[in-house]
Amino acid sequence: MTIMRNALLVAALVAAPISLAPLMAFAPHASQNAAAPTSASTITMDPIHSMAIFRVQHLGAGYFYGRFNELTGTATWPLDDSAAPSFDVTADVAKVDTGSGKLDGNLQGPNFFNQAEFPTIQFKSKSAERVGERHWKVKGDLTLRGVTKEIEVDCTVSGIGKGPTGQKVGFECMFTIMRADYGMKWGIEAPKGALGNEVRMTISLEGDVAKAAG
Amino acid sequence: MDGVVGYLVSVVVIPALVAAVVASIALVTPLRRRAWAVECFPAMAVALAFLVSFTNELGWTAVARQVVTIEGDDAPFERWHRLGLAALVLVVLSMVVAAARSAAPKGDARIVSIASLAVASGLAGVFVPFPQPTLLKQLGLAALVLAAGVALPLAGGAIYWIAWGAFGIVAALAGLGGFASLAVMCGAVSVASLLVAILAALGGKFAKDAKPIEATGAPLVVCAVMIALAARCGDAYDQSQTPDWLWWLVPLVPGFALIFTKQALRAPSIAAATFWRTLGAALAGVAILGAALTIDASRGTGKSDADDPYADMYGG
Repeated sequence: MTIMRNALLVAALVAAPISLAPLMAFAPHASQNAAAPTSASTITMDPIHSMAIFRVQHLGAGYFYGRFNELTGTATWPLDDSAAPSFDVTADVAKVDTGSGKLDGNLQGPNFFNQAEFPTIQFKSKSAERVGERHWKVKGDLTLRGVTKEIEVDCTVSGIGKGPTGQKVGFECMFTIMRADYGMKWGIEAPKGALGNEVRMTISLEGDVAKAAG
Repeated sequence: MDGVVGYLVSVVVIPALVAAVVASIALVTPLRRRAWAVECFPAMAVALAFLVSFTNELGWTAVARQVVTIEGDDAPFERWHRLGLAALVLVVLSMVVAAARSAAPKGDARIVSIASLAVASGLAGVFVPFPQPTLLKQLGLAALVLAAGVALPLAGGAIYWIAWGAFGIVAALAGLGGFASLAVMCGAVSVASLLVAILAALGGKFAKDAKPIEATGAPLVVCAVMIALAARCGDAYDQSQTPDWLWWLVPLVPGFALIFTKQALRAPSIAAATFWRTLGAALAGVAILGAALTIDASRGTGKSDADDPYADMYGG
């Protein structure tokens, strides 16, 4: 009986490290995640699937929507969400698209985006604060019509997918600006109420992951 | 007041009325007998119309920003805002040129006119760069001012009638090109020129020893510089399909008064001569506008399914 008990004890002592091994291996890895994030992947925007939608009130009545096609730039983000994303995204004013060529021309003209002098709109992030899982408040500089102001962008990772060219990551970001802050005043006071001051932006970004996490 | 109506009153009607009041100081008062006053006030009024329209829309800071740094002003520096400063300079210049011509010995007034135009042309070339300026473009702008200065004297006494049309064309082209602010500002100058022309005609009819309107000195400098700058500005920011050469033709419109020179010279009255000269320029203006509209319509917006880079994104 004693021999039997001793044999079981030896077997248990031998088996214990083996059965606990996966748990022991997992434990330090998890704590490492919390302390030091895995390296961020560089995500190059896919212009075909990256766009910005803007919304502005027309004549104090309905909301008018337009979009900027073909956003370019990069983001960095560890795919395990262990650290904040960063963005450097550019919209080309020439790519504004309202569905009306005349209206596009008006928006590209000096009364609005002034494409001849300020051909691009740029956002560069500076910091971020976690709001939830894959959900961040990103602070950064928005440069529009030559004026740079700090804004806060609500940014959600919309998904991680796989395409023929490799891994893809999508973000959806939203923010609101007062266009008068950027010198785009036409239609606010003169002509009064033609177009609203508040512009809500929804930006959908999709990019190709250049470097795997880890 | 309705937003659009209020806007048009502020940027077109009020500037034109201010110009009319300033011009009337010389045109319908005893000052009509003074050549310097008849030269100075109407010319100043035309430049003032642009300046008042500009400041009513953008404020004085947009003019001041061109020359000084304003504390707390973080609005963007936009090159076309220099037109406001140019109008302010022209208001002053109209007085200086008229005074210089008045003070110059008889026979030298013409030299003062030519020298003033040359200086104004140089200043425009150096200090009014529009987007992507190059030496060639700035030389072109200076040359355009000179060309307008050569074309305008052909308008003779019809200078303000023709300015009405020429600024009207720039306003229409700017509107077509999506540049509402330039359209209304040139619209204000166009209406102001019309009011000045009417006041000049009325004053000339009823005042004894009235000095005639001449396309020389201050009116020549103001109209040549403003038409050339406005046309070049409209071209630089144009979002329509209007070709550059059409824009560059606008400052030369007054020269088309030449078409009916024979009829103007044989006309029995100043009014009839003015009509013939204006008709020649008006025909050129209508041709320019017609060409711009036709080209814009034929080229379209460039938007069609064939141009759509996303047309095949779903494999279609």
